[in-house]
Amino acid sequence: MKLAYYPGCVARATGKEYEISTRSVCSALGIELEEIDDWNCCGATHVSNELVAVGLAARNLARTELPVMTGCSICYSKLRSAVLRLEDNGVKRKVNSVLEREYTGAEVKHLIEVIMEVLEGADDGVIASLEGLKVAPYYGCLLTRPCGGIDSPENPAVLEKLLRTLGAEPVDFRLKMKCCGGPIFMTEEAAASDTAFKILECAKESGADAIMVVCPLCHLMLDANQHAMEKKFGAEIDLPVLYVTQLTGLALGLGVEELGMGMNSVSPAPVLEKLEAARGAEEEEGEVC
Amino acid sequence: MRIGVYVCHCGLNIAGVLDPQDLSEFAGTLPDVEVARDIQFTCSDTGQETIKEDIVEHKLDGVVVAACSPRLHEPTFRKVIADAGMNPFLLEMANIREQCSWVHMEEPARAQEKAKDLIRMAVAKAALLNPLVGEVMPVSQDVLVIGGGVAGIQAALDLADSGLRVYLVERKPTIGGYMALLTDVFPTNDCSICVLAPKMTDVYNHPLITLISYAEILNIEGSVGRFTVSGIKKARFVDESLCKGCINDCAAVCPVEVPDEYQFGLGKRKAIYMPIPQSVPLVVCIDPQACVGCGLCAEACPVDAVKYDQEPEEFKFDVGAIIVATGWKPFDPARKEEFGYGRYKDVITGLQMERLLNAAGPTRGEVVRPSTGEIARSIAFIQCVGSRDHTVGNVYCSRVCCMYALKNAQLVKEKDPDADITIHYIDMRAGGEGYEEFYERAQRLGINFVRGRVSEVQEVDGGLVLTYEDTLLGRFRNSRYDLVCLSTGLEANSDADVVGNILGLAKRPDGFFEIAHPKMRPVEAHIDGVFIAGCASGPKEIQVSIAQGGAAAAKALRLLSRGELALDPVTAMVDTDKCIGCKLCVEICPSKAISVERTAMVDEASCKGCGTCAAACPVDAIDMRLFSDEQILAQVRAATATKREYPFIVGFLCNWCSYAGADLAGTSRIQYPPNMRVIRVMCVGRVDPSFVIEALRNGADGVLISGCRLGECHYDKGNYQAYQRVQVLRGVLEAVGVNPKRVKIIWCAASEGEILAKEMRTFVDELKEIGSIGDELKGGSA
Amino acid sequence: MNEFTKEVLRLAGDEVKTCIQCGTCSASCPTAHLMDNSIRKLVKFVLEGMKDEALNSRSIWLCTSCLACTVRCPRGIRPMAVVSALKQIYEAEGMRNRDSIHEEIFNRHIKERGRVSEFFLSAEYMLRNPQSAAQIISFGAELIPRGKIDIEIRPDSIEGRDEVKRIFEELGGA
Repeated sequence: MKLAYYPGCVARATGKEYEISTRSVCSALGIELEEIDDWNCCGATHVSNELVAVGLAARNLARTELPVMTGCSICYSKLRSAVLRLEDNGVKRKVNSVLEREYTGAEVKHLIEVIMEVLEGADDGVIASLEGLKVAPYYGCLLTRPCGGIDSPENPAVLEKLLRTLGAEPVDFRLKMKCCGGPIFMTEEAAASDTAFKILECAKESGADAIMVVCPLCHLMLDANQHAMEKKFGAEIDLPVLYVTQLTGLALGLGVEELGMGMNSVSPAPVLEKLEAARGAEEEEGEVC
Repeated sequence: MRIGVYVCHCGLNIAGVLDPQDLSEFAGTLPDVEVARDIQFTCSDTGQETIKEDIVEHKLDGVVVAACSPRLHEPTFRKVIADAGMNPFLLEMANIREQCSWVHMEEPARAQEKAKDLIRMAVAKAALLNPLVGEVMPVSQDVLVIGGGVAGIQAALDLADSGLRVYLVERKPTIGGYMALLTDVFPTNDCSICVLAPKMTDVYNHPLITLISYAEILNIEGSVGRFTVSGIKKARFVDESLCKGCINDCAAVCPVEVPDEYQFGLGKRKAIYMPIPQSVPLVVCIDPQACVGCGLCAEACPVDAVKYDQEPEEFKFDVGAIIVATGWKPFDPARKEEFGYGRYKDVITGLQMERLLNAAGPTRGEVVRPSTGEIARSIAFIQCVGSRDHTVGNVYCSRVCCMYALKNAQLVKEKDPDADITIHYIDMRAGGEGYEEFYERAQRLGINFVRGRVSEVQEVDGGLVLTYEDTLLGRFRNSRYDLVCLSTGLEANSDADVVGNILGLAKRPDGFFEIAHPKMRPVEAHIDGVFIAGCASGPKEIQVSIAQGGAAAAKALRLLSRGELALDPVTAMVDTDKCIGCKLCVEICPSKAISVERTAMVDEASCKGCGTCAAACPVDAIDMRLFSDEQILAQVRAATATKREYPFIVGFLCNWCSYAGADLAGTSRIQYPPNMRVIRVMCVGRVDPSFVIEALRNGADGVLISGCRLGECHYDKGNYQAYQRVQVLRGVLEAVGVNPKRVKIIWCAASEGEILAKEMRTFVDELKEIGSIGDELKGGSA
Repeated sequence: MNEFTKEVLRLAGDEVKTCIQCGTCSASCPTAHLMDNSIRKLVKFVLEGMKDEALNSRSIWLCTSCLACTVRCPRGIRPMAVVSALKQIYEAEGMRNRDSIHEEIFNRHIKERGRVSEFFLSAEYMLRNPQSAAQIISFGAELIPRGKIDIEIRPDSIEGRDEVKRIFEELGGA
């Protein structure tokens, strides 16, 4: 499978381990990624003018003939919103009047859609099952919004399904769809932290060993910011936050370096230990037989 | 031709502005005119006698009356000439009062010229009129009622009590519909089945009603007065004539249990079952999907009524009219995922609440939490689930949910005064006799009301937490309840689509069947002889459904009571030599009066004479018996013979709205410039582009087409058809160098004389700006 | 209807007029409990032409753009688009606060270079809003040692920056 890859700005900075693990997993799954040439920022949640936001997305989409894949939920939502708005011929005409390459239509996919497709088609994709691991699937806000994307915006199940495919156990996690507050963290720290910390507490209460995220901004809020929030709210969370690609990589038997796991703020060691213990037990059992 | 022309003075109503003597002298000079007179009051006895005498004396075969609007006195003068032995359709009127003397009072000279043109046009048309005879057709006096809910039951009983034979076809094993499953009903809180069951039994016992239950209609052919209906009666695997309805013997031994659809999934039933205790007919039914064929029921039945080898039976009969009472279906709340229906056991629907509250229901009337079986002490009702909601495509209000939630809340509160009950609403709608009082009663009982739509329901520690903004306080809340009842809305019954498609019923954007007029014809379909009652045409309360059942019965009775139908001869006709069988007319006909085998055929009993087909036919194979192409083109040519106005406008006005609007401008004495010569058509859908081109070719500077307001066409969508045609025509005109703004289409209701006058003034100004058409004609080839 | 209302409707869609004030948007909003005026009320301010109340609401800047309101609105309104419209009008009116400064920097960086560098974005924001220094420095202290933020000397630009600039200038005015 060959796809156009839209990394998004964060992949080159605070989301580096997402990009590293994305490339490793895609390579292991036989997905060929062709990075969109000279791509630009999607505008994220900060370009208030709708037409400009659509124009920014359209420039990226017009630069490839292939289906476009991205791992960032914000980029995914923005690209998808643009595709919806560009169905309006008036909008399309205006936007095309500015673009160098004409936008004619595009297919946008989220990384997890692609991973699911390949794993479902493969006979023995998962070689090192994540059995025994309880994971809180964190959707965040924009993975499923606006409507019509990868799954229902109200009661999605795609991440749970993926976790089960990987052998892990998804926990019931009430705030899985609540926004992490990331987009306003820089300017409205108090509000964003308040929102993010509730999500961490809820994930902790659900009995998960780790949280799985699909967006670098969610990761930033829940992982990089976790220690600061623990201090601020005076409560211990200590919950590893892993990218979907890091968990998938572990299940595919990839090494921790290939998955950029040294870059996570909250140490993923407990997760690795638990997996090792479970695998060790399995092997012992095997020996007895 | 030998035409007589009669110019009316109407006292000073016409003669105060126009000179009738001059007009009659002018008429006398026109071709085919044998005699022309001016008369003080043409509609008076003396006036009528004069016409009758002339008809005999001058052997007239055409009459033109230049007087008031044909909408007023056309019937009068048709009768006059018929009395004198002429065919009544050989009459044409020139409207020189409402559309001339009354609207150009300040400009008598120009009005006089306009009146001459109007008379010339009428004479031109009269010369081409043909005698028409309306046929009389014998009809079946039997009626088919589709659907045995309360609306269908009422219709069937009213018809049968009036002496007509009724076939009541119901797809379920029992009649009664949703009403039979409700507990007490608003606004009186009386027991639903107690008032319905006697009517159900009356249906069963009525000698003139043939009840065909557990049946499907497969085909309906024919048209008003002579429909042929066929279908099948599904196998119950029980002999209806033998079963005694004792139920206990067979169902007690049946080993199979499945969810009971009559309890909306809350209880179980056996594979052999009686739908409800009050079923009509009181006969059990075997569910072939569930039955394992063990034979226990057959052994247990004391009268050997169980017949495993029973086959479906076909039926076929003729009827003169059909009443569609196919009802509704509940909105599936699982589509509103944020409310958790289907995920959380304690989130239920309004209909499930009805069953819980019902003494004959699965809990014998106790409102319990399905998850635990414990009595629910705190209950939230969420309103507008599946109604007023673009996200599920239902924009409309379901009309009954506020009231049924109020009712169910009251019933719970009456059983358990300490129960904590809250209704979460957007707007409480309690319009109806005794409804607002009912709302107040709920408030007095201590039911809480929170204004604010719930955003989501989540199960937390065994309870249900609702998230919402109390919009009146502007506060955000999370409230916990034992039980959440979703006030689900009503949707169009998709099971009725088959019948709808067979009959060619139109659907509104909301999915319900469309009635012939949103106000004036509430129980009539667009198809002659077909009536719609109850929720088939939109959500309704029980009392309204009953009223509609009765109304539909009355309409069917009115249609069939004489045993014959007089057909209106103003219909379409097909030149089979020209017809290419393209079926465009079939698609476009609002009355489904045209069918095509090799060539098109018009069912004259169904045709309403709008003429949309004639305008649409790509090869001019369809024409109208009255308002024919030839007649209208003759009017256009007569109108443009002298053109003593600039700009000169030819108008096409639809009979029902715009022509009536123009008449109203007259009776209201609203003045407008006399630049237009009006040609009356039944519907603007009749306006063939060739009429417009003929007008422009003959030097009209502009053409005004005016129809009913969009959505108000008397033939459903003729105005949309006209609009599309005008758009295409404008493109063509532009291509040949004629300014497309010369053709204008407007919408004007019968009440909007002022709008018509205003549009006239504007159009005159616009055309002055554009200039005379003369130059454009020279340049182009139009 | 005053000019302010018309401008919001132009930017956010005419269907905003059909709001029934049901509160679904605000009840779905993750930061609603922190807002001075709920998103529902912002819509009402807009429809009533109450420009000052709307533009001075802190709520505008607490929106995380999560689209929960937009997915659920029963009238098919996009409440988030109303917030975006208010942000644009706020900036067009020359009003400034720390949130609008951040937006302005973010937009300018894309416009000039095609992409955003978190390093330069944070650095400029810190200079323009010194109160944010402590937060940004401590976040940097967490991320820099992990190699997740490169300390850049000169920001990178994409080749198509002129095209991106046109997107802002020609589509932004419409």
